[in-house]
Amino acid sequence: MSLYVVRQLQHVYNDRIVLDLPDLTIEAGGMVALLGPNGAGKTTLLHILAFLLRPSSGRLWFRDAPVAFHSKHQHQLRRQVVLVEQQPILFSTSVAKNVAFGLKLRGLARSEIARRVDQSLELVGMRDFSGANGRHLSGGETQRVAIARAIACRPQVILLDEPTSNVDIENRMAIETIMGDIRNAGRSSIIFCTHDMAQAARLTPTRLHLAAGRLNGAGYENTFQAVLRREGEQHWGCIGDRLMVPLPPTSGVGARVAINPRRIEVSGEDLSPTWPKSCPGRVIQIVEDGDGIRLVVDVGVPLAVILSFRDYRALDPCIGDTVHVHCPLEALSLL
Amino acid sequence: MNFFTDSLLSALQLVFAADPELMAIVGLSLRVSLSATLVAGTLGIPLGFIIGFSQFRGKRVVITLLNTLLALPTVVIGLMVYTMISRRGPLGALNLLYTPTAIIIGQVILILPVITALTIAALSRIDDRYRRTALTLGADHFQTALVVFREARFGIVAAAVAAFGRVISEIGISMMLGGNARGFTRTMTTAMALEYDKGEFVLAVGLGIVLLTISLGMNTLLNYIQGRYAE
Repeated sequence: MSLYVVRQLQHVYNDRIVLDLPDLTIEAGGMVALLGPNGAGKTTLLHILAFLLRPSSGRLWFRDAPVAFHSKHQHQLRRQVVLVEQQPILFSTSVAKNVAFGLKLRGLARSEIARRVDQSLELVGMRDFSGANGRHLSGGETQRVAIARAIACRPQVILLDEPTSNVDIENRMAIETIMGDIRNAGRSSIIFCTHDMAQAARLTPTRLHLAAGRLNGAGYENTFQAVLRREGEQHWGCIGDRLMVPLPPTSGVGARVAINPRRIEVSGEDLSPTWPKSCPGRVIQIVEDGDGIRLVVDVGVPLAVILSFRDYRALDPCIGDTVHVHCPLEALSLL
Repeated sequence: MNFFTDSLLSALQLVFAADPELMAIVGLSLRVSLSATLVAGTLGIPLGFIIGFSQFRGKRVVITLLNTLLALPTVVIGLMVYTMISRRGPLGALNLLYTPTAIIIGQVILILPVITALTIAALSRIDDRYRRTALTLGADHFQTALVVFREARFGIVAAAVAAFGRVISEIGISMMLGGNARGFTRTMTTAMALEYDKGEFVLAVGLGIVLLTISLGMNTLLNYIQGRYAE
């Protein structure tokens, strides 16, 4: 059974198409990361998937049933999906009552509510705060209670909008652990959005990339504005102040390009004659990513590169090392 | 100066001695104004809620109209209600003119826009995330409205207090519809006006002191509630 099926879905805001998804299927069970820069349409998509926002056009199926956004009984459908906003808000009452809110709406027995509130707060490490006023918590604590409030409802789906963008490192690690726990418990599917590629890589192999409201393949994550520079017949796109990428001749004054991180070539030595316009950069991040290793190289802009385990072992980079990157034409996509 | 201090001292004596006439006037004023606030609140808070919470064409026009009604002079309301409930008016048979009920009717008309407009304003200050959070946790529209109401409760109490302050201190409606009948429809403000006309300042100043004390008490209470909320 598919969790969500989206067909020809568009959302228009202020005469601008902010979301345009011809075809998207999300399977049940597991964790999906929604990646993309600010303004890519991630939050809009999450609000539509939470049935809080009616798309301008198109159709949506949830667990194989079509979603009727105008239905009077939509709260029944909403009870299967809970959204935790980027900056969640707690009701001005105790933490425990905040977590109990959704359970009371579902008509659960008082003893069951108390049990689930306890359990959910325990899972997010906030049990000691159950009597505290929701308004007096820090950003990270608020985020954790909001996640507990969602977990307690045991929905089919928990949607998390940038769950760690407003919290410190300690809370970020705690929240990532909680997300892993929810996934492992297998009760709810998780769809979360982030612009932190490394975080997405740490948490799940299933990643969707959104840019300007459209879904792109996984190779579209290094998205930059390139300024055209002509050198004879050859056209180059200048990204930041160091990185040069080859551009096809019909690119105007510049172009928005995406560089496939799996097709970027990396070497420990300067291979200038073979690799025209290769660019030196510092390795600033190394993280495991599914079937490969993700490096982030600072070439004036942070450039993600995914190496196979074999290439990684051959290169053997360390944080702070200087490497040379080369973006061949086949790594480029014009957006 | 002597005249001022003499009047003030005599008035304070009157207040502290709980003069029966003064107490009767204060009692009636409180009864009438509290009733008016209760009725207007019962009508105005849900009305404000419906207007504030729903989306419909002409919503801005309605809100502008309500804000205009905030400046409605009491004598205009007095005149309007008078033409309705006087013997020759359509509701003349109910014999309401010069009764406390008549004053309450007029005062309700005076503060209904106040409570409605201030309720709408209180709701508009409530973060939209409360509504979305209630919805995503599975609330239906009514339950969502209750959540927003809960978050706006202090603003709504403030609206009721402001409305009470408006009616307890108004004079036009009480005079025109109540008639200032001693022991029956004489309120603090109409009594003060009468005593002033007679040149008897002691009772007038005494009532003035009580009126100010009530206002101070209400605002202190409101501040206390809001202070607790802000903690």
